[in-house]
Amino acid sequence: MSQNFDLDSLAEELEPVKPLNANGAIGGVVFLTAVSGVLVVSTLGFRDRFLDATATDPMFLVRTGLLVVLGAASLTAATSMARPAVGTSRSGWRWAAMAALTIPVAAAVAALVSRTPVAERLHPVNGVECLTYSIGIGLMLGAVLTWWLRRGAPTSPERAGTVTGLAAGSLGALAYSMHCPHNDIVYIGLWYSLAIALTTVAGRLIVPHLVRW
Amino acid sequence: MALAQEGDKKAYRTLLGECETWLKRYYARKIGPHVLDDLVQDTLISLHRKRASYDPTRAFLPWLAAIARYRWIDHLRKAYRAKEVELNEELTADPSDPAVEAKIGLERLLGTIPERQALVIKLVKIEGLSIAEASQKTGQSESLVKVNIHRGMKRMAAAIEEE
Repeated sequence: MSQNFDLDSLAEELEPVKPLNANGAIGGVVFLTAVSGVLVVSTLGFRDRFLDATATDPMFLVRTGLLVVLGAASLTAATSMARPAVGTSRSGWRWAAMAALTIPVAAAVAALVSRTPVAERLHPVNGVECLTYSIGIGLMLGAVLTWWLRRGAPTSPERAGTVTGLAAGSLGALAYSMHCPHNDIVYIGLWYSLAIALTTVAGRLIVPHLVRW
Repeated sequence: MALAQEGDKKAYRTLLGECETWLKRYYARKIGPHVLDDLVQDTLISLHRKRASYDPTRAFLPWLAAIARYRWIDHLRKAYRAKEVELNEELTADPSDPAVEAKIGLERLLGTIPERQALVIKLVKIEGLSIAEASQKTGQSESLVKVNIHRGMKRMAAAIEEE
């Protein structure tokens, strides 16, 4: 009896809902990334304005491409986790992350055989600025994604957190990368990887508490 | 469910009733019978709260099963302390629909983890044996039983959406 009553009252409470649409969330995050990129360029300047840094440097193109792919793969994975279904596989982001890992690995090898002292190639002052901006923008994007996931039903809060952090970090780094004038693999391998690693760890640690249901 | 998302209460009430029946069968023999009703009810409440997460262009059952698996694992974790030792065999409902079981059932999820982990989860979490009893029955040490339960649950939680 009480069970029936329960179902009736649940049905009585029904309010129309709009089905979650992942395209809306993806569009929102892409838009915010673009806005952040424009803000970075308008306040700090595009990298073109600095000596030795042009828009066509191979390192710049490679890192932009990798960040776009990593951001796109993790963003679609994170947003789709809001809508669960048995039989869904979302492992694409892992492959993108592994491809991106070639950068820090190559950087480590380059640092090992470097003739100039590695400390000179790292430019810690710029590096910390890079971290601050990338992570700052990433936190904003991560907050938006977390809010989106809270509305949905991610069945693996931990994985959702990791992927959210990865998406936030790579898109944050992408936005800041429009300013970053460095072309050195050692520099990119350390600071960019560190920024993305930090947001990923933060996402893994913080987001699950917020998206459990 | 698509009608329910638009606010059709009658269609929703019918759907809830059908889901209740379906879930009872889905969970049968996969949770202590004394908590079966609680689990079904919790799942229906989750379905209600998360109804916007259903994509009306896709099949309904895989969505329901994902929610049901999530709540099931959640309940297995909770049931750990509050379990009762006796298991009333009469209360277990019909076996699940074989076609469903083959693809989205709980047996399938249990099949994604190693046999030794699935076995102790069944004994302790579902049948309600104590750790010591499960240890005797399987020959695993008590700490190994605990470790295997923990690892198995973690793996299943990560595999909820796998077929």
